[in-house]
Amino acid sequence: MIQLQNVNKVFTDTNHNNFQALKDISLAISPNECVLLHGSSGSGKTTLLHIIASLMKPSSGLVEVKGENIVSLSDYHASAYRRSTIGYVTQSFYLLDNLSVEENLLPALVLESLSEKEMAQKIKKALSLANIEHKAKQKVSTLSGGEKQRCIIARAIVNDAEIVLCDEPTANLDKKNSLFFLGLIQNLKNLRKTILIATHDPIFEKLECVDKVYNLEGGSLE
Amino acid sequence: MNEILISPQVSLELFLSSLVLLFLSFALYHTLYILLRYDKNATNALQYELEKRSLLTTTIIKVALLISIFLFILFVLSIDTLAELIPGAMCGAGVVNSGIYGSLLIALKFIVIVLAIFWIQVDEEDQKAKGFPYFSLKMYLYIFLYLLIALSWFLELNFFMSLSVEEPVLCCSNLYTSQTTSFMLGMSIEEIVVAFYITYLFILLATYLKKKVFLSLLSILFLYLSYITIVYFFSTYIYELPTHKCPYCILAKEYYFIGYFIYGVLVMANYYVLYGVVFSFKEHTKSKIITAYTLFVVLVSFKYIYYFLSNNLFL
Ligand SMILES: Nc1ncnc2c1ncn2[C@@H]1O[C@H](COP(=O)(O)OP(=O)(O)O)[C@@H](O)[C@H]1O
Ligand SMILES: [Mg+2]
Repeated sequence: MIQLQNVNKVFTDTNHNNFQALKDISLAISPNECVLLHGSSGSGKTTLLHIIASLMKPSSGLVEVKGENIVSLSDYHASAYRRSTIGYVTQSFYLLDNLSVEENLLPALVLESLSEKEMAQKIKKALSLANIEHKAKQKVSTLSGGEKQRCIIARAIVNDAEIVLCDEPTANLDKKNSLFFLGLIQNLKNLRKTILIATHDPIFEKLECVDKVYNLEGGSLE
Repeated sequence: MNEILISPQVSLELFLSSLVLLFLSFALYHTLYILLRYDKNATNALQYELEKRSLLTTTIIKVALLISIFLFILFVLSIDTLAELIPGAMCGAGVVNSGIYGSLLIALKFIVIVLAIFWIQVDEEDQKAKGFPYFSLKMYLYIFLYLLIALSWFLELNFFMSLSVEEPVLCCSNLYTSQTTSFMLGMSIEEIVVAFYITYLFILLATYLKKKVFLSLLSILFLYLSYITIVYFFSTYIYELPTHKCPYCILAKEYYFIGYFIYGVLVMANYYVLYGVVFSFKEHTKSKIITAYTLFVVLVSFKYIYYFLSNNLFL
């Protein structure tokens, strides 16, 4: 499903100083696997997720998703790939605060040529999977942290993405909501999603459906 | 300093086209740099850098080409205003004919515009299709286009420098003649007009049957026939003056700027042919070609047919 070969990422700042955030990363994730990416802060987890989501291009290396090197996609196809294949659970609550929960899911769908009825159905399904259906009409700014997180998860799966990437999903949650999140991951796994979670939260040891764990340290896999 | 070169329209036009050429030269350097190193199966740092660089390069090319299309209009307008400076020239045609390579320059600019629009389309298709299938076509076409644009810039400079405000010219000198001239294969203008309509019908047929090679050849022939028939035949009906043979005045306000529509539709027709020949010849391409050519034929022959029907005679 996802295969990385010798992926490097070098950031160059305005003084032409190079910083290598990822060093020769190679990994393989099969369909429907749930994979943990452990690593302390600054180890390159977000960079790696961005590269898999085609939000960022690596400096070199192969990033193959469903048999295709996504690095060389044109902007047009890269955004099509993101829309159709990737669900991204962001670390911070990147939501449109002044809109309701269901309105926050709309941007992910408007570019697909769907009827309003189909859109409403997809939104309803995603909201109920993420267990936030009862707040559908509520403004996001009035939600609690845990509810915002569920809203983000609903947004990540509303386009039926096959791959769900989570970047430190429990960083802003209390224990109770973190445990609830683990339950949602289990649901996604049952829905045959391929899941990659970047985290340094030990609570994920409780997650039973994990197939594989990678450790990222200083930009290299151990 | 030459009075022509420092006139505001000409100096602006020359300045902008030099600027565009500068950008295009910059892009040419990168195009060659990319072409020499490109390997679409590589996943190394160089290849990814080239892919980024080619996006930047094609963006520069696209913007520069769009500007040069608009510069053509500026060129036409500046020639028009020069008619006031040059003794004897009453319209652009007098100016075009009094400078060296004038007609060649106009023809070259026409071809550049068709190819520029086409290049922009190739780029668009390349971005939308997966795996950049038109990458080399796009790059090589650009090199060719660059040579044409550089040549046209050089001719333009020579053209403006060769104009003189002292020597009087005969406006439309070789155009303003009522004696019968013979054209291609010694045909008379009436025969050329008949050939024009027949070629048009064959174009419709070739489009309908999707005969690409045949259609490309016909469209080149038709372009040539269009020029002759517009200058020596159709324009006289538009001007309602049998001795006024000029490809230029139809652009003027007196004739409701009809020339812009006529030439614009002709550009589009040729562009669609190029598109149909290189890319898929779908039903909508077919109908665009047919519509553009038909519109062109209607636009040029409207006054003639009107005149013919209302007077039942030729000029
Ligand atoms: N756009 C960028 N420019 C320069 N350095 C960056 C950029 N993004 C991330 N980095 C650096 O790369 C390293 C890895 O960052 P990141 O992937 O965000 O780590 P993590 O998500 O594991 O905390 C950090 O040292 C960070 O400062
Ligand atoms: Mg991070």
